[in-house]
Amino acid sequence: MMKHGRKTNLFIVGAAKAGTTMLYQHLSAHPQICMSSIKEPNYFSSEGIKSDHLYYKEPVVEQESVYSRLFNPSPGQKIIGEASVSYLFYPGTAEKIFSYNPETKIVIILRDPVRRAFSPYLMDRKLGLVPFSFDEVVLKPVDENKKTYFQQYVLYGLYFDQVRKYMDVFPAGQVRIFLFDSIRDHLPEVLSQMENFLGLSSPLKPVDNPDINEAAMPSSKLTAMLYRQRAMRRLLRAAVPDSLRNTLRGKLFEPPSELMSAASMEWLRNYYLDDLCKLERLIQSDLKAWYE
Amino acid sequence: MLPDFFVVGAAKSGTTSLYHFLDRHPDVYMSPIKEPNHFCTDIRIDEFSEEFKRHEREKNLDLSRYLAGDMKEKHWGYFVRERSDYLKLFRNITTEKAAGEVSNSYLFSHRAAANIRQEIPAAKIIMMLRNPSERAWSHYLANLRDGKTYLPFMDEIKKDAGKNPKGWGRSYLYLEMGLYYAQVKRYMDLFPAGQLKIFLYDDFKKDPGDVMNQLFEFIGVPSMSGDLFREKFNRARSPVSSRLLYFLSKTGIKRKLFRAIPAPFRKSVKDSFFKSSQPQLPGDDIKQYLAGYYRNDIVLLESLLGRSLQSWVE
Repeated sequence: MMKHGRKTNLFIVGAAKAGTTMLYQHLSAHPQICMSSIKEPNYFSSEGIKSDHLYYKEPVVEQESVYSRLFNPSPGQKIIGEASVSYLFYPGTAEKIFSYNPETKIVIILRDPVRRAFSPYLMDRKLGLVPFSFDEVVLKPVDENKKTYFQQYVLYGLYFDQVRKYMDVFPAGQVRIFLFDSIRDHLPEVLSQMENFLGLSSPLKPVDNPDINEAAMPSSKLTAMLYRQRAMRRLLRAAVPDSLRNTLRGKLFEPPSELMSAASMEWLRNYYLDDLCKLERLIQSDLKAWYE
Repeated sequence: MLPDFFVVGAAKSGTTSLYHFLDRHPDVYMSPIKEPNHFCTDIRIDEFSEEFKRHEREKNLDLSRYLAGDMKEKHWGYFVRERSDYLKLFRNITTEKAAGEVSNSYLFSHRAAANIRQEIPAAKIIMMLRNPSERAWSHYLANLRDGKTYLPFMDEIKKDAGKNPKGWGRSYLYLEMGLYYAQVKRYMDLFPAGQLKIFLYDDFKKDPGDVMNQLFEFIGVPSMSGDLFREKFNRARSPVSSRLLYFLSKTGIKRKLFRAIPAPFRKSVKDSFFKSSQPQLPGDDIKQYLAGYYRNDIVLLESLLGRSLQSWVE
């Protein structure tokens, strides 16, 4: 329980690399929403993360007292939210969130798992965090080290069981699934659905430049800056020598220069096929664009 | 033994076909009374209007005798109120892996969702939703066919909506049954997403095999060939004379007449009361009226389901 006696009642639980940061920023700008000061507290998945130690050597939020300090809602803010993408992947998290607040709303964003897989790789590549090519990780994940990358890139995209867990635990009216594609192509509609889902009494409008953030929105700007620096610090400290950090920092936001090989593409399409067919039925959405 | 899945509605949205198709599956047991109306405890026959009480009486089912027998003969619907009677509907379950029933009143009822969730927490809920304008029209056509009205559509629905008191068993609820938002929400607030499956009638009509197999997967039984699900049930037919049919029906003559006719000729005599052409379609004024009536509710429902219902408003 937070000092102010209120509980988080919105969790954006994933998927990683599917647009949760952007959504987090749009939500942060709404007067009735208080998003956590750190985008990803990872509080409810901290045990799972600790056992994996790749990106998370810096401790995630493990104590409730720390967790509750991330939120400072004013009385008019009816939604208290956070967005930790590890919640979708780590088993047992849905149950933990449910026992924390059985009435919370859950938002899941899903993205074509093949594209999702490549996105963290490009990021790692730029940071010099991955000593292998994408093909080596995807096609020959033989040693322990590669298996960890395989998990981050490939296994995270097996959505069916991850989503089903949330659907089994939470009442249907509390879970909303969006597709990355519709957020990209129809943002105003998605935000208006979000507005209804959260029961907001004023429109949820897109912020102008969600990646860089807005000077007009000081709170979300600060939040985004904190997050970005923290995430980067975490990544860099994990695997990169101090001397390289500044160079890497400059390169972080350059556009991707590498393309996925046809072999990996085909392997992944095939790998996800069954899971997507099951997922399509589970969430009753047309996902053909992702596997055809 | 209690059932583990429920088709809860909506009425006039293909649930009779669903019932027959589910019943066809070797691993599925269906209540021999299609609509036992057991969990809608807020719907009470003693509060029914005389007209609706008459409909109930005309079902002419001796429940205790039926339940004591082999229950081979299927019945359309009944209010099976006692738990001991309800349990008997499922006593013939042998090797089936899933058992269910179809009561359209459960969607409209304010109590059924909570009652089911409380008594059978793991119950799976299935809904079939149809464009509410089409649903209302189809409901009207069915009542014409059954001799329950002879009035033109607009007169009939206005008369029905103006009844006081109105409700299940007091009015036909042509319009009200299609206001899905609040009805669906009751279930979505109570049941985990994984226990609730909502199908759209248009998808079912387009590819019944696909919907049936999604349904089989949902209730945990193997799939079947889609070709088994082409048959049509409970279709609308237009009476040659609505007034005559209404008169015969209201006076009880229709039932006596049909029973007096030897079984081999019954069908052709029945057929002679109906036109062989396709049932009529609503005019533009009716379509516009219904579209306006349902506009807001569809918007709310879309946002509740997170699914586009664009085809319902075009």
